[in-house]
Amino acid sequence: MSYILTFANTHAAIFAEKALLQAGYPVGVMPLPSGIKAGCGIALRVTDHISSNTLLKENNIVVSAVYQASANLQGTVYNEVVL
Amino acid sequence: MMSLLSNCTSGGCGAKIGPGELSKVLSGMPVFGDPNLLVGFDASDDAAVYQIDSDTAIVSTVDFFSPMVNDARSFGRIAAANALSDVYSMGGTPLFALNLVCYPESMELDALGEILAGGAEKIQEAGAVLCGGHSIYDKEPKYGLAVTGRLNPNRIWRNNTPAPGDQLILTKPLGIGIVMAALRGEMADEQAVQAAISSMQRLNKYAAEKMHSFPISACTDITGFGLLAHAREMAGEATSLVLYSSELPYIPQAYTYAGDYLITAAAQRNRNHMQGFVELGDTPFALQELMLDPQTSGGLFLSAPKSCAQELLSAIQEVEPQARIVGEVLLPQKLPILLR
Amino acid sequence: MTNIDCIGQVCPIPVIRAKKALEGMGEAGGVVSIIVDNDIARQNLQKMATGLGHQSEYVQKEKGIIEVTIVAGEGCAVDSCATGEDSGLVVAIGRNTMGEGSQELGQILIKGFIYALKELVPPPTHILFFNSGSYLTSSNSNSLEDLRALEAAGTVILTCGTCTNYYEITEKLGVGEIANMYGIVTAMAGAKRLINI
Repeated sequence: MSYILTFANTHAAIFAEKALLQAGYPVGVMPLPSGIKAGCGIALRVTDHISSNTLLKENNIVVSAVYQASANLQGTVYNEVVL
Repeated sequence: MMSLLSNCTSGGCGAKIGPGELSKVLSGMPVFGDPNLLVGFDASDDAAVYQIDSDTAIVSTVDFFSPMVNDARSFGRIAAANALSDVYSMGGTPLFALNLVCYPESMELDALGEILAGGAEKIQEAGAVLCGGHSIYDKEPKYGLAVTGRLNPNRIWRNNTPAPGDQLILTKPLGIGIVMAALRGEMADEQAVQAAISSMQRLNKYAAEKMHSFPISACTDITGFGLLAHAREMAGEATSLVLYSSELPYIPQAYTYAGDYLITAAAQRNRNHMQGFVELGDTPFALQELMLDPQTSGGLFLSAPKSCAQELLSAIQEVEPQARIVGEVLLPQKLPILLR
Repeated sequence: MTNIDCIGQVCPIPVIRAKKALEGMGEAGGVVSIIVDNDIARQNLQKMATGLGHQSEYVQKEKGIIEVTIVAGEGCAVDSCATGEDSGLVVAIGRNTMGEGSQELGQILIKGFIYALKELVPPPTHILFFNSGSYLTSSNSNSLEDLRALEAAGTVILTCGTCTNYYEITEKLGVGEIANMYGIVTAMAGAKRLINI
């Protein structure tokens, strides 16, 4: 699960996790990585950021930003992905 | 109950005859010329591969050693996982296994029962069958398996065919030998020992399954000869390998133990054998020792094209969370192994 | 001069004994003489001596015995091995939420907490689950991947059998093993540090 979804507030994160779980999408919870700024300290990990994002839009849940995590020589790097 | 370790010298893959001594002995052996033998011991590959017909080949390997842990069931699991590993690292599927047992007359049979139960667990987990074996009395217990598997002869993962530009992945953390040495010296932290046992018991099956959907140019498993020796085998004549020492996954306490000289005799033998093939330079001593550290039931060390290495790593990390990209393959340089 | 007989002893025992003797000499320095029966042990002893800044030399004796002499100069006090200050952590999770207040906030917090536990170096020795915490190790828990990664790194994961029985989820255990209260108490009592959620 190498895509990270961030949110402006915790309610959004909570609703998002619920919606994704209900729809059967693989989703994991993680504390917001130190390299990323967002309103809420909880971020979600997903495998498919495109379909996850579509599902959340249908549920009126706003995703602040999407990042792709990749391991490189210095550790994990988060690159913002534009949808 | 008498401790399994009480009359054992250096157990596990630390007991392997040194690579230098072994090749001296093997160089005098006759060369067998059967065209069906696709992989024999001339290239020191992980297992033997013999072709049966156009899409079937048999993989055959054998591995056994004396205990390195006190718990009989864990020892059985580790020895079996270690033996099965060579089939996975060639890209094959284990079919059946035979037990190899040495056991002291004076030791209680309960412990032997536990060892065999551990082995049977792993054979079952591999989807293979246990179909017999051989046991003799010996002053030191030893256990392992002779494993037969199948392989598509067109999809063999050899251990010395990496392509320049490929990236190198290691699936399990290093430091097993060092942690076991610390355990022998009664200076090992319980959590480090658990981490080592957990790693040794894990079948390479899961990582191998992830790898089958990717183009793998070379693959081997890390054994008692240590990472550097296997890297050198992989480099062969046609490439040089660069290893990023700061990217190597290892059991954290092993770094400290290595710095405190809680190291093995096998690592020193491995170090002697690597003279002239690698420039250790100013790599920190503890990292050098980790790269020479003998692994028991070690992880897979593989090379894959850069274009899919990251995706392959993510897939492997689902089953081996400590897997890392640890280096890359270059055209031949001054030395077969470079450290950065 | 301290004499140590390491005939028949396997690495790392000769190195450990020699190191202890050197530490025992402290600031005054001194000479340690070790006899071993193989050259590899000799190499490891000299490797250790050089690494610690001491002179060493060796003499080949008969029947394959080698005597290694290490001279620790004055003022060359040897630091003793770093003890595992940072390990021995046990985490006890007695519910499937973290903190008090909102249930749904607590549920998402505990998942983030388990993820962060996975990033600890070294990882906890044990994580114990009981009461509603046992839901977190069940097959439909969203923290299974993280807990399995912890298990792969050597953390022992135990879930209380009484609790899984109460919630009727014993067959659905997704990671680690079932333990009884004795197992849980032993893990807690043996902890160097205990975190209770």
